[in-house]
Amino acid sequence: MSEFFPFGRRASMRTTFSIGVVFVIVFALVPAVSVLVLSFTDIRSIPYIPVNWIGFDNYVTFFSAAKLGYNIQALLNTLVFALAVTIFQNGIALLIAVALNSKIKGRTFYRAVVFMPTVLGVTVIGLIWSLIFNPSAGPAASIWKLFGANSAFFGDQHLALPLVIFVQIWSGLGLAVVIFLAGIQAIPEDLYEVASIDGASAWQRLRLVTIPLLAPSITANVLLCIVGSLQSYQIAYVLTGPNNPATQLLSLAIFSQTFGGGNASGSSASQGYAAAISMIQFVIVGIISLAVLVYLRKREARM
Amino acid sequence: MPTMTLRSRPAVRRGLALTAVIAAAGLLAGCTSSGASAPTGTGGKPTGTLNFIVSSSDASDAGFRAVNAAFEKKYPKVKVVFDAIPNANWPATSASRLTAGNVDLTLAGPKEIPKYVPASAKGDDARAADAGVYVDLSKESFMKNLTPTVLKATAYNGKQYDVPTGVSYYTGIYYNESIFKKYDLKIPTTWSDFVTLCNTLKSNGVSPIGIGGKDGWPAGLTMISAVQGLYPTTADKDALQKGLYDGSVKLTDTQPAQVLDRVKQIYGFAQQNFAGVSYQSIPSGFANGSFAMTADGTWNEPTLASAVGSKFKFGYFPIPTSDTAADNATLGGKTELSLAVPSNAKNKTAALAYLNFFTQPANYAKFVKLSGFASAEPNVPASAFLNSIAPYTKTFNPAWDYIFVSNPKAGAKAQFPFNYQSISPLGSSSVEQAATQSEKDWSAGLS
Amino acid sequence: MTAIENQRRAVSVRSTGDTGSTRNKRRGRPPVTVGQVISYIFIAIVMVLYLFPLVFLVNTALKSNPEFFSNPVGITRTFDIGNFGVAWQKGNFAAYVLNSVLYTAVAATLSTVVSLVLAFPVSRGYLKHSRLWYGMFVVLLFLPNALMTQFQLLLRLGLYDTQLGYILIMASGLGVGPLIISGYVKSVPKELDEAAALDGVGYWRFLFTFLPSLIKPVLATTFILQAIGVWNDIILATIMLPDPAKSPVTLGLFAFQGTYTSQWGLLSAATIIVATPLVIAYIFLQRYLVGGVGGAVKG
Repeated sequence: MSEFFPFGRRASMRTTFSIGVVFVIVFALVPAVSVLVLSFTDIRSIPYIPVNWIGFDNYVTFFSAAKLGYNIQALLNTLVFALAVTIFQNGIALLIAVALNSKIKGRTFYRAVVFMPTVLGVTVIGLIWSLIFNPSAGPAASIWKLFGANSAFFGDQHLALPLVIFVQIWSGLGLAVVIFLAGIQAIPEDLYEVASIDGASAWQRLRLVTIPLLAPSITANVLLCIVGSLQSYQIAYVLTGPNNPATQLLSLAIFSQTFGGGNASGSSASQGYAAAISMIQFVIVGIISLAVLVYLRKREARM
Repeated sequence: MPTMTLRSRPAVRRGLALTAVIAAAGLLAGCTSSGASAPTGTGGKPTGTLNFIVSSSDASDAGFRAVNAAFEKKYPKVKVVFDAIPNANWPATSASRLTAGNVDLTLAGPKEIPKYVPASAKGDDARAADAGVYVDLSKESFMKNLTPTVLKATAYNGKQYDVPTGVSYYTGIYYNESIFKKYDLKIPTTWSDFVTLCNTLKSNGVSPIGIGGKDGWPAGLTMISAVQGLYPTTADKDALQKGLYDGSVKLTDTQPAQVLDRVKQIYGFAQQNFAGVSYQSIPSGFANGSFAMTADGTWNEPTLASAVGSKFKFGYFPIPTSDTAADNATLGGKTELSLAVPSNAKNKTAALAYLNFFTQPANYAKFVKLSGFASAEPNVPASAFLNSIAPYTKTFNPAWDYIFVSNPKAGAKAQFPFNYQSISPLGSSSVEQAATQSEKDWSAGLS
Repeated sequence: MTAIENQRRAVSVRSTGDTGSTRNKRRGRPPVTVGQVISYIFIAIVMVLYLFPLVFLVNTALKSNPEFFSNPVGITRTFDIGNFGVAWQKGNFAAYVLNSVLYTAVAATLSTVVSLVLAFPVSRGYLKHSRLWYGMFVVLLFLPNALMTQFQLLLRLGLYDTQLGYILIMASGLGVGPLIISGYVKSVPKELDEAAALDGVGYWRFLFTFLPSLIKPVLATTFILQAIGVWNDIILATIMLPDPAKSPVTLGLFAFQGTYTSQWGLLSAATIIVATPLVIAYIFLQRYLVGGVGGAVKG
């Protein structure tokens, strides 16, 4: 039951709350639930083509012998991508935040620089890194050459995904740093002083003071990162195109199936099929995010 | 890189991907619909706004813009709103604008599929044509301006829904004439000649072939070229497709596997790390002499010509993937950007007037000159370059991806269905592995 | 405070014993500690990784096309600033940037307001089934990609190809907004609601004037997160806004890249033109950022 409401009649609260709920339901929930409906049809991107109910056919196709290998590969890529991005992005961001929190000169500048990619946007990031990893004429190729090596970079089946992960981390680090930095600055200075007097090393101060007290920031960052990276495909798309098997992510497959002229996992497949992949992804992302959320909340409570 | 737009990339990609077909039936069987009927589009006086969308590329955009300007001059009451959509956005934008009904002239190419191909493989454009999404242009008098063989190739169930704006060929390779002269090389006509030529270049420290492998599909052109030589006629390609669909031909059989073997060998002659090189950096590499040849379509000739400038002369010949010279004598091609009028267009009168205007030989000549397409109409003067390849293009010979209907039930490795993407270094497989993977994915889709 | 108190005790207990195997064994406070040196080195490496690509971009923008192809990696010799003029002329970027600013400002504001309106009563438990509503906030985080159906919705509402329709769709993706606001609101004592109510402050006045001044940081955070999403969108804009005059800057730049494919100098110049106003705006706004994110994650 609801709590005591101090503001007299609840009508005004109900009004604004209802407006908010209706807004979300109309523009976000209804379209999302409709995706579930579409996943049982063979709807196509071009209008006026007759649409048929085909039951679970799209899901059957997803798990069919012909498609399963590809889809599992895409799923594995997605998990590797999300795991690597989450771990490295948060780990590195934490170190940067700690370093920036010490009294070094120019920290505002450093912070601004790390945040820059977030401001620049995906198109710009794609252009910059394509230039740098141009195998015939980019600076990365020059560096490889110093070691007598060469690489196709985004064209290399083994290197493409790690490079995409690298660029994804490069792009997303700024926000994670800012969230950590805010959390760190909220930690009372005297805690560190006590720790120092007690003889704690920098590492111990990090492990025993900073990290435990940063638990809420860690929860926020990890959750943002997992949800974001499980659903993101833009960086992979701008760097390696929609159909590179090495960087095929589930979300990229959905995008290219829906609207991208996707030829990666079934040529003239319908948008109904894309909707089915969306739903499968929704379930996967939901399970993982909820599990992580519950775990991190529990961990916070223990701190 | 997907942020880049290329001449005909969507068309090629769609060709590789959606591959609805012109069957041999379409080419050989008579098509009776084009003919003398009352013109409907030329009667009324066009006014208002003409919303016109195409997928963008420098050369064809320039061609359309020139025609648009001339059209507006002739019909001052019509304002042409021309949007050249970046290729990567084309599927999304065209579908959404068609749905919204705010486009009068767009691109569509419905293709028939052979009877032995399951109906589920039918392309979106064909389904849309079945549903009456596009206006039937068969009876429009301006269709008579087009070359009959081209019309036959683009007919759908005996009707014409689109006006192809040209023809491109893409089973050939550009070569640098001065490099060829330097090493005393002649245009090869058999596969062994070609291998010898490439080895000569290699032993002289010259990369034989430039391929923009990062974009995927430019490497796919080598696969299409391999099929062109090994299955030279339309009947051969049809038989191959029929065999694949009825299961009598396996992708691991000797001849289909040979396609991948050719691809593998061509990759071996490609420039270092070609798998990471984007298609749009190829023209400058070719112009700098970084490689002696580049496998590309005729649509890219204007770009190559402007990159090369006066540094050297270059030419184009079919990649001789067969051991028999006669099988290597034709270039495979496809019709280019096909204009269609949506049935829900708000300004059909202007759209039909535009098509009428566009197809008039004098106006169309302007377009062909700027776009670099081979003409889809007789009696339109061709560029010197297109004249130079005329011996290979006496008849319109559709390339493999134009004939093959991809099976949506098959797996990703059997998409084209020759698995060129998995061959190392684009993928990480040998010819045998790639053939086995694609056979597995193909046969799984046949049930 | 008790948690911190405990923490402090834990720190002092645990840290007295073990001092080995760590990078920094120094005690006391000399002018420059080893920790600071390590920090400087680490930051220097990070700076190289971030600044080099940007510098390289500027360097490329200063090369003419022939120079780029003959000398792609080296430092520019021609200092060809003509690229900027050409890119500015052909790109129409001023209009695109203005569009983006409009979409970002309005959509992020709207979604912050909606998040607030939803989060406050749920966080306070003023509504029935608060847990259920809270569950909805979590589900909002990872709704399936609904491009196609959102497009159909706008079409049916007559909002297709309108700036309003696009803004509404962008604003409806609330993301973490309701979650972090409701978390933060818990740190505001409930007694304040009651005190305000006793003073005759109505619900709306409290929600829209009193409360925001108390939870500024979390509102700023919500706004920033949302703004980043809107600013970087390219897919929804492609589908919902076919009219190029309404394109956001991402799409404008994308189209520009599509048209001037292999002219790297020109592309780089265009990229810089687009980025510069943002970078300047960011430099002015960034000092609010950390403070804004501040308490948001405390809840």
